[in-house]
Amino acid sequence: MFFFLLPAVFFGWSLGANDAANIFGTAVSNRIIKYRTATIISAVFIVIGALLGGAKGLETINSVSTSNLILASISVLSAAITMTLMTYLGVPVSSSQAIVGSIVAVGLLEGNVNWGIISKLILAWIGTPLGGMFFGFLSYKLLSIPFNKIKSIYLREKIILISTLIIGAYGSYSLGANNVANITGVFVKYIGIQPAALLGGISIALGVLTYSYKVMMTVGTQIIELDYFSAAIAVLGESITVWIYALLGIPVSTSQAIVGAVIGAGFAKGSKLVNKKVILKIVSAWVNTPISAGIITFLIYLLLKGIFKIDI
Amino acid sequence: MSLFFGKKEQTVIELFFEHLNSIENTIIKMIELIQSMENNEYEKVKELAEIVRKAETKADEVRRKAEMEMYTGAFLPNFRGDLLGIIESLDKIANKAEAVADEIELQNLRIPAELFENFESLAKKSLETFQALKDAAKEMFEDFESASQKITDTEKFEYEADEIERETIRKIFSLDISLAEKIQLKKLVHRIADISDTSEDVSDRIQIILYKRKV
Repeated sequence: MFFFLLPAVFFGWSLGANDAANIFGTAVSNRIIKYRTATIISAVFIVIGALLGGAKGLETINSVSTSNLILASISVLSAAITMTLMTYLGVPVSSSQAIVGSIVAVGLLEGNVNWGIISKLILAWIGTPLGGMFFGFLSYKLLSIPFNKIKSIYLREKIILISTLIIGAYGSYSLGANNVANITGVFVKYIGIQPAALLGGISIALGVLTYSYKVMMTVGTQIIELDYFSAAIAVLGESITVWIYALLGIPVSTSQAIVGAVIGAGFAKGSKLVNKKVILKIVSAWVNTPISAGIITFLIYLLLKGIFKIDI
Repeated sequence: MSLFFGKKEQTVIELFFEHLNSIENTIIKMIELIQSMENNEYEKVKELAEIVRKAETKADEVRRKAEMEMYTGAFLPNFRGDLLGIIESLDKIANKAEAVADEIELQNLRIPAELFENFESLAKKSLETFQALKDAAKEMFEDFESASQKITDTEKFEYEADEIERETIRKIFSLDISLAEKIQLKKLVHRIADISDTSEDVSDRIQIILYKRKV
C-alpha cells in the first residue's frame, strides 16, 4: 500500500512547491515577511485546511475515481509527472486539471467515465478566474474605504503586515482544504477520508517547506508590480474563491484564482490588466494540462501492461 | 506619535526630523551670511561661510545615521526606499545653501546696496519654501491630507521665489556695473533660488509617495 501512495506524496510535494507562491509570493519577494515565516504559516494552515475542510473535495474525487489501486496510483503519478514536466518547461499548469485529465484517462481505460461530475469540475475551472476577479474586485472596493481613512503611513504599514499574515493563513487553509483532494482523493477508497486528508496535507506542506522559494521569487517579481494593499487584496480574492470551491467540494486552481483576483483588484483600482495573453495562458492550461496528464496516464498504463506485463 | 510608532521607526523618524532641522539651520546661517554682506563685513562673511559649511557637514552626518538606521528594518521595504530617496534629495538642499556660501566667500562677492533687499527677500523666501516642505515631510508620517496642504504651500512659495528671482535679475541688468559683475550676481541669484526650486522638487516626491498609497 505504502508503495502505491508514494506518487501522492510526490504530487503533493510538487503542488506545495508550486502553489505556496500564489499565497505568499508577492509578500516574500517584496520582503514584507520572511520566507521562513511564510512557509511555516503556510504549512501549518494547509494541514489544518486539509483536515478540517478537505473532506468534501476528497469525496468528489473519490466518486469519480477508479476502484483499482494500481490505476489510482498511476493517475496520481501521471498528474505529478505532468505538473513537474510543465513547471520545468515553464508552461502554466494546475494540479486540479492534471488529476482530472488522469482520472478521465483511467475512466476511458476502464470504459466508465462519470461525465456528470467531470463536467461539473470542468465548469468550475472557468468559474475560478471569474470568481477570483469578482472577489478581488469586491474586496478591493469594500476594504479600500476603511483603509483610505487611515492617514498615518506607519499604521497603514502595520495593518498591511498583519493582514498579509492573516490572509496568507486563510489562503493556506483554503489551499489545503481545496487541493488535498487532488493529491489523495483517488485513495479515499483504500485509506479513508481523514488519513487521506492528513497524508495529502502533509505532502503539500512538505513541498511548501522544502522547495517553494524559487517559485515564490518568480511569481513575486514576474507578475505586474502591485502595491502592498492590492497584493493582499488579490490574495484575499483568491482565497475566498478557492475556499468557496472547497465548501462545494470542487478542487480548483489557485494559480488561476490569483490571476483573476489580480485582474479584479486592478479593475477596482481603475487599471485594465486583462489582455489576450493572460486569457490565452489560462485557456491553454485548461486544455494542455488535462490532455498531457491523460496521455501520460495512457503511456504509463501501456508501459506497465505491455512491457512489464503487469496485470492491471 | 510614540503611541503609533515602533521603536525602530521612532529612531528613524527622529533622525529624519533632525536632518530636516540641520538643513534648515544651514539655510538660516546662509541668510545670516547674506545679511552680513550689507555692511561689507568681510571677516564676518568668512566666518559665517565656515559656519554654513559646518552646518552642511552636520546635515550629512545625520543623513548617514538615518540611512543606516533605516536598514535595520524600520518600515516596510518600499516605504524605506521612498524615504531614502527623500532624504537623499533633501540633502541636496543643504548642499545648495553651502554652494551659495562658497560662491560668496570664494569669489569675494559684493551685493550693490540697491539690490540688497532683493537678495535678502529671495533668501528668506527660499527658507520659507523649505519650511513648508519641512512641514510636509513631517506630516507625511501622520496625516496624508495635511501633508498635501503643505505641499501646495511649498509650490506657492516656490512660485513667489521665482517672481523675486526674475525681478532681481531684471534689476541687476539695469544697473550701471560691469557685465562680469552682472553675470556673477545673476549666478548668485540662481544659486539662492535653487534652494526653493529643489525644495519644490522634493515636495513633488512626497506627493508621489502619497499618491502611491492611495487605494
